[in-house]
Amino acid sequence: MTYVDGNAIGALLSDVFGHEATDAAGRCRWCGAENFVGALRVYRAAGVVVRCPSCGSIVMRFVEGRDQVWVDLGGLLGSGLEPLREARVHVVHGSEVVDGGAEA
Amino acid sequence: MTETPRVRTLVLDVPGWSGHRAGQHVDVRLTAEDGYQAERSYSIASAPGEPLALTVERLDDGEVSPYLVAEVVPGDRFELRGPIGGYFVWEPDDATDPLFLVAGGSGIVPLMAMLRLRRAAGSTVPATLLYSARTIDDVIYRDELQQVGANVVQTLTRAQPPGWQGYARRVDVDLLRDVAYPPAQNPRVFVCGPTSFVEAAAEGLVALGHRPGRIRTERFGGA
Amino acid sequence: MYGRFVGIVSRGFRGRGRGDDSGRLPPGQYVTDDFPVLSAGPTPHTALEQWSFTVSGGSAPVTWTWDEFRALPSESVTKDIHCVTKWSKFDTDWEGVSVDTLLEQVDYDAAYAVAYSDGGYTTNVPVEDLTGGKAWIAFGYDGEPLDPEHGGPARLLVPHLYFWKSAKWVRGLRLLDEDEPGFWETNGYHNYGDPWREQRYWGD
Repeated sequence: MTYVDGNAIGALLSDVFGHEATDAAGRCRWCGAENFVGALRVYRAAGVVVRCPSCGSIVMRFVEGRDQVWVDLGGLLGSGLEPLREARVHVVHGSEVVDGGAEA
Repeated sequence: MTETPRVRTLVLDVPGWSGHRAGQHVDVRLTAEDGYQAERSYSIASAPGEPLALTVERLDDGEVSPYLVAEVVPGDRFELRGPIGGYFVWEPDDATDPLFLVAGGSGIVPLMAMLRLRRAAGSTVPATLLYSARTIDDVIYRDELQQVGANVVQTLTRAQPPGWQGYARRVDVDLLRDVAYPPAQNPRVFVCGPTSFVEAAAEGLVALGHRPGRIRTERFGGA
Repeated sequence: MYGRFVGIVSRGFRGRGRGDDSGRLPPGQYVTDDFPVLSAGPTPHTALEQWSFTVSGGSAPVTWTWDEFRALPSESVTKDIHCVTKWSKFDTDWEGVSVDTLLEQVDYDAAYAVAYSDGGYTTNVPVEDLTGGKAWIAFGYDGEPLDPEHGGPARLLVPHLYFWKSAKWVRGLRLLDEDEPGFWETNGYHNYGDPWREQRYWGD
């Protein structure tokens, strides 16, 4: 099993952020690259591990419990572990940056 | 509706369905009598505004797709979530940049939704579909592709019928150079298919000078 | 609206997992004959000449090269394994070096251990769960060298705990006086992970 694109976790992201966020952009804490969430690399292990396509570092981790989701956004610049609301995550709406936001 | 021996389109009645955008997918969850559950993602084949349709390819080692392709009959129920995937979406807008779609196998499905929308909306944006399948019998939407109003280029990688006019090899840099709009035309590119196919196509396009930020990909996972 | 799944039964769907009433299946699990591959990142491919295994945290670190490691006495064991994602697989055949054999060569007095792997994965296990014939550094599966996608050249095998504890691509153990939660244990998965008590998540 290899990775799939960030688009695949839209439903999970909607549980966490209230919208699916795949056309939002986030900046990697480790290499600084900004990518659309839809262009991140998703690995499915015991939980979901989301990696930066530019440097391979982990930018997000999710564990889906019975009725809650544990979220680690520690690899995204400008965000913390909580709260989980969209406003606290470093996001840029895709419609404004479609051409420039995802230079990998 | 049977598309090929391995592929079937299911038209779904979803109460409260809020509509979707071309390129999106749904997550399907099946629950067995004993509580066992399995969940997979399937691309939406229909254009926005049409009844929700999923086109599903039966994977030999799959556990959900054989059920959806061979077992489900009208009236059966299963659960789905969606629409999902606002990143891998095309909509007609004021931009005139051409649309270049690259499909491997059943990766045609979300790209067909885009072509169906383009036709329905009367969009005049130039569009080319490069579609790689194993054999002519594996080509999904074979008849409709003739009338979809786009430049459709096919390659058959495993076997070709007598008199085949299309390509007969895997998608690589040379094939992409032949078929893709040149980078100077700044095409919007969507690539969907198995992981190795998507990697080869995306890397080839970048090697030809297409900007990574213009190339959107959707890789299939495993079975 | 994305909706939520509620569990409508799909007529005729059986799936790959099955129940089992032999008493070998922990609660909430399903039996599979496959060996699903779950991975938190790209598969490392460490050359055997570059590979070593280190136990640190004792009076001095002890390191084995691949050849030294393979020269240690090994065991063949047949175990049921249980993944927290709900599949279980019965009668899996492994070959490996018992962690007891490794720790015989280490002077230590620690209650906790963290296994660490190529690629950065970590998981914590109490030392008493790694000793007494309960854990191995496995290098063979089903009579073959352990495939890289299943953790080769070597993985930790702790079959009495959920399988995320059986770290793939393992390269060492750090022995600790204080428990130190690992990669998943810091983000929702249970610190101990006993499948028979269904310790999947924090709070279970």
